[in-house]
Amino acid sequence: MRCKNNIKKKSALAALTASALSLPALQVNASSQPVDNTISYRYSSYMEDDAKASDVATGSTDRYDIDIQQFKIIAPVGRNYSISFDSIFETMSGASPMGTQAGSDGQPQLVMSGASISEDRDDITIGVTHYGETMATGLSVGRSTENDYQATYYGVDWEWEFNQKNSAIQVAYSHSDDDITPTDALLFGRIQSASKDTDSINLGFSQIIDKLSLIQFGIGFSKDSGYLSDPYKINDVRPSDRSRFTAISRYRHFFKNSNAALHLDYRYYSDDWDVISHTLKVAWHKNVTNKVQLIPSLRYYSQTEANFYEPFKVSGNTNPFFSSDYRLSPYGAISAGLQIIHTFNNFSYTAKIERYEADKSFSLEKVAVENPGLVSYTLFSVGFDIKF
Amino acid sequence: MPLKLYTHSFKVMGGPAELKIYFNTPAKNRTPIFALAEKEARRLEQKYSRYLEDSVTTKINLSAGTPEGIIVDEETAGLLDYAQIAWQQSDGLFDITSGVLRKAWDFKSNKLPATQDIHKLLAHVGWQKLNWQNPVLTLPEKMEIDFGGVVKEYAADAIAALLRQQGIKHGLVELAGDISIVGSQPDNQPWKIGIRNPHKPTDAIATIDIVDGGIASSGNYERYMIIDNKRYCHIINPKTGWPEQGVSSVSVHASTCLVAGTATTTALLLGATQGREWLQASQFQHLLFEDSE
Repeated sequence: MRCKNNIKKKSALAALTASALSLPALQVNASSQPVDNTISYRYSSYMEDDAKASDVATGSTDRYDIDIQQFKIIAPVGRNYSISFDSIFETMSGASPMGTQAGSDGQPQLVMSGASISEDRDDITIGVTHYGETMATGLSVGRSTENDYQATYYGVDWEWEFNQKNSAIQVAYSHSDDDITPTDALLFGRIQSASKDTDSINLGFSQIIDKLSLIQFGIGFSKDSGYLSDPYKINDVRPSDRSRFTAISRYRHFFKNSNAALHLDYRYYSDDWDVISHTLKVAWHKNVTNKVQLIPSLRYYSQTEANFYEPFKVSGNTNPFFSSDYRLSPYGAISAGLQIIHTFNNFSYTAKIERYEADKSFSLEKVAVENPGLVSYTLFSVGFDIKF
Repeated sequence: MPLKLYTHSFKVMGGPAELKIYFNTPAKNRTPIFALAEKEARRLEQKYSRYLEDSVTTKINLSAGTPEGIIVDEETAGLLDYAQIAWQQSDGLFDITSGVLRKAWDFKSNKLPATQDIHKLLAHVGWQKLNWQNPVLTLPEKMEIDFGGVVKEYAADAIAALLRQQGIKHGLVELAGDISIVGSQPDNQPWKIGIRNPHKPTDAIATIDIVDGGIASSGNYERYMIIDNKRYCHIINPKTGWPEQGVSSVSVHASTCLVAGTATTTALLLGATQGREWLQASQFQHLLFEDSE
C-alpha cells in the first residue's frame, strides 16, 4: 500500500512539471539548446501502385515498395552544445521503369525492369550545434550507401536571432559527393562508374508577427555537376550541369477559438533544364484534447517538362540530350494525409497515412501526352518520441 | 565589457519584486530588458487580479451560473489545465476554487468564523464541482476561482522565460519570496537563496544553492491571527474550510517556481509529518520547519 502510494507521489513531481512546462509563456523557443535527450523512431511503408498492364510493353508491372526505418537521437552536451545522430535504413523491392517506347496506338508504353529489384540503402548523419548568445552554429556530416551508390555530404548552417528574438536569419551551405557504379554495367552497356557534385546555399528569414502567427521566407540555389543521367534508363542522356533555384514561404497561424494552427506552405522551383514547379500545402493542426492532435493535410503539385524530355524517343530528333523519365515530364499531383499525435508526459506516438496521385490532368498547364511512368502511392507511417 | 550584476526593483502584485541580471552590455541595452520584464509582471497582475473589473478572473467569476460557461484564452487555459493537475496530484488540497472561504476568514478581525458560515461556503468550494473542457470553463453559481495561488509563481517563471528569450544567461527573478532563475551565476556558481527564519522572518535561517528552476516558500508567518495561543494562517484547507497547524514554514525547489509553489501549499495543508513524507516521496528538494508553538 505504502509502495503504491509512493509511486503515485513520485509522479506528482513529473506531472506538475510537465504541465507547468507546457504553459505558453514558459515554452523554450525553437533555436534554444534542447533541454532533454530525445529519441525518435519511425517506420514507414511506401507502396507505389502497380503499373497498368496496358501501359507496360515489357517487364514487370510490380512497382516499388519501400520499407523505411528512421532512428534519431538528439542530446544536449554541456551548456551550449547539442549533438544529433540520424540514421535511415531502407529496403526497396519491385521494378522501375527503364524507359518508354511508342505503343501501337502512338501512346508511350513503359519498358519495365525485370521483376523484383531488391536493394538496401543506409544513411547516417551526425551533427553538432553550438548555441551562442544570439547565434546557433551547426555542422553535419553524413554518408549514404547503396550497393551501387555512395554519397558523402557535409553542411554548415547558422541561425542568427535579433529584434528581441522576434526575427531570425538562417544561412546554410552544403556539399555532396555522389558516386555511382551501376550493376550489370557490362551486360547492359551502362556507364561503369560516374560521379557528381552538388553545392547548395540556402538563405532564410523568419519573423514572429504576433503571439499567434509566424512567417518564413527562403531562397535556395543549387548547382549539380557531373553525371546527371540515370544509368538504368534506356537512351537517358542529360546535360552535365544543372542550376536549380527554389523560393519558399511558410505561414503559421494559431486560431484560439478552434484551438488549431493553420500551416500554409508554398514552394516555387525552377532550373536551367526549364523545369518549373509550384507546390502548395495546407495543413490544419487541430488539438482535439490537450494530449491528442489531428493533422489533416492537402498538397498540390504541378511541374513543366525539361527541355530535352520526350514521352519516347523518335527518330530524327537532333537534340543531343534525351530522357523519358517521368520525373522530368509535365504533370500535376495531389496528395492528402491524416496524422495523429498522442502525447503523454514525455512520450508521444504518431501514426500517419498519406495518399498521393499524379496525373496529367492535375497539371496547371495542358499536357498532351501523359508519361505512363507517373507514380501514385500510399504511405503509412508509425513512430514514437521519448524525452528523458 | 565584463559581466556585472545589475538589479531592478519595483512593486507588483501587492509585494516587492526584484530582478538580478548579469549583463556585459551598456545601459541602453539593459534598460529595455528590465522594462520588458516589469511589463510582463504588470500584464499578469492586471490579467488575473481579483480586484479589476475587466480582468480575466473577474470575467470568469461573473460567468458563474451561466450554462454556456466562458471560453478562456490559451494562457488561462494552460493555467486551468495546470490547476486541474495540481488538484489531482495533491488529492484535492491544492484547489483554486477555495478563495470564497476568504469571506468567512478575516485575519484582521482576530475572530474565528462561525462554523455554519464555513459550511455554507464549503458548498461552493471544490474543483470537482466545476466543468473544465479546454477552452470552456463552466462554473456553478456562487463558485469562484482565484489564481492567487499560482499567478505570482507563474509570473516569476514567465519573466525568467522572457529573459532567457532575450539572451540572458544569468539572472534571478524574485516576486515577494517566489524565485525563478535563469541559469547559474557566472562561472557555474550557484545562486544562494536565503530561507527565512519563520520565527524571525527578517533573518535567513539557511541557504539553498540552486542552478536551475525555482523556489517558493510558504509559512504561517505571512498572514495570520493568534487566538487562544493557536495560530490560524491564511492558507485554508479546501476540504475543511480551516487552516492547518503544524508547519511554520516550508520552502521547495523544483523545475519551476510554479511547481514549487504548488508543493509548498500542499505540504502546508498536509501538516508537518504528512507534508514532509509527501515532499520526500515526491522527490522535491525542500526545507520544512515545524511549528514549535
